[in-house]
Amino acid sequence: MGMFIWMTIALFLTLAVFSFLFRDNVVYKFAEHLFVGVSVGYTIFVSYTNLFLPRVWNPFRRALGDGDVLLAIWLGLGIIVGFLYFSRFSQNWSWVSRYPISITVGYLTGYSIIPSLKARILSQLHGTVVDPAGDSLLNAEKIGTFFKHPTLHNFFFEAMAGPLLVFGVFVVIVYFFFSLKNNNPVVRFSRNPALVYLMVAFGASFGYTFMGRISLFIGRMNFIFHEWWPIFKNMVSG
Amino acid sequence: MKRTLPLFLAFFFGIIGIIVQMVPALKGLMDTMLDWMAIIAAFALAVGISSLTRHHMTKIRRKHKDIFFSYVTFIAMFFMTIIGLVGYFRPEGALQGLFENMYNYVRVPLDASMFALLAFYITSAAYRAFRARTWLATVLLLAGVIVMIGRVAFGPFIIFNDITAWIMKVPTTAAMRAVNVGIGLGIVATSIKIVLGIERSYLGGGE
Repeated sequence: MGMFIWMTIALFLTLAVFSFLFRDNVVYKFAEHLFVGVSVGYTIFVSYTNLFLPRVWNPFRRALGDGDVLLAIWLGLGIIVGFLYFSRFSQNWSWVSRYPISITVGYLTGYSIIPSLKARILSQLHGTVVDPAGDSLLNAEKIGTFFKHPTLHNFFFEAMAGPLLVFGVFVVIVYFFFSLKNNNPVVRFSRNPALVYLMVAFGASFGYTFMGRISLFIGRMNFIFHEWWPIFKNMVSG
Repeated sequence: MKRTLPLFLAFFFGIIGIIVQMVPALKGLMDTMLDWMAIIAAFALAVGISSLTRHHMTKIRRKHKDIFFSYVTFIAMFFMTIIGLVGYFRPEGALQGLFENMYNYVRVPLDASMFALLAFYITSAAYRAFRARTWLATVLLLAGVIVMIGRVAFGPFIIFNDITAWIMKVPTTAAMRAVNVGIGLGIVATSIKIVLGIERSYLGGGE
């Protein structure tokens, strides 16, 4: 019975959210504010148990217990710097909050330069030269395979996949080169193919996202009709 | 004090951030610094929660017409926090189960329904945006439709599954890879500008 009450609450909240499709209403607003409250409460709990306790409080206590004064001072200093954020609530002292912001922004931007360079530039360019198996993407043998077994699958997935991928990366990079005005034939030629690649990618991403959202909707409908409804029917029929 | 010291701090800690990535011997310092950032980030979260609390407190004080919803937010927030923390420290009590039920039967359905709701708005936006006015718009429309059918292809439509796989493997990967390279270059350039104090917008306005 207890579980059924919880499931009925979930059903009510699901319908409350979908009631927005009709128009903005009190039930939707209730669900929306409840969502904000519960999510913030959950975030506080997770931050306290997964962030504050294991990374701040426990190391601080351990450092004090072990006599590691330097680490204790360092962590204590972090707590003091963190407290400076609260100066935002004072009109006269709000500029003090720039200290923790600049420390965080400065460190994390410096810290992110090399990983970004590796993951977003070098790895991507490497992936454009060789496939995950280590073979060249411009592999003439794969084109030869197509001539031995001329099927559509071999043409698109084997022979042309690599060259089209390399060509696509090249033309889209050229298309996004805005640093100086350039009208040479290569740039002019690459515009249309680049736009085709981009449109296909955006269309595909849209389709993918849309189907993801639809699957969530189907999930909610499954919950109502395949989980809640059978229990309700059993209860009513005794 | 108000602008120069924060700029110096960003430069100093930015350089430390770069050095710890380059020198493997400084792994210990890197971990300690990340802990430090976690401490500061925890306080940023506290500021966000205080800001939310102030916003709703002001509404309650001014007897705003939506005062009831401010109470709903408050009660839900404090209830979830308290049962979570008490349940964490006393796992043998009933509150941990209550917290799990609140998560599974309140937060999860609300979260999934909110995102599912977006499907309807995406559809309406797509109807307006995806008109096949130009041949490029037609390409966008076709790619979207093919991928949508391909994700649930069955029977005679199974061919769309292969076409979707190819679209995701070749043109989408190529375009997204090039976009990623652009994003990477942007991140690196902006990061260098922040560390060197050229980009200062994060300090906000005023003196």
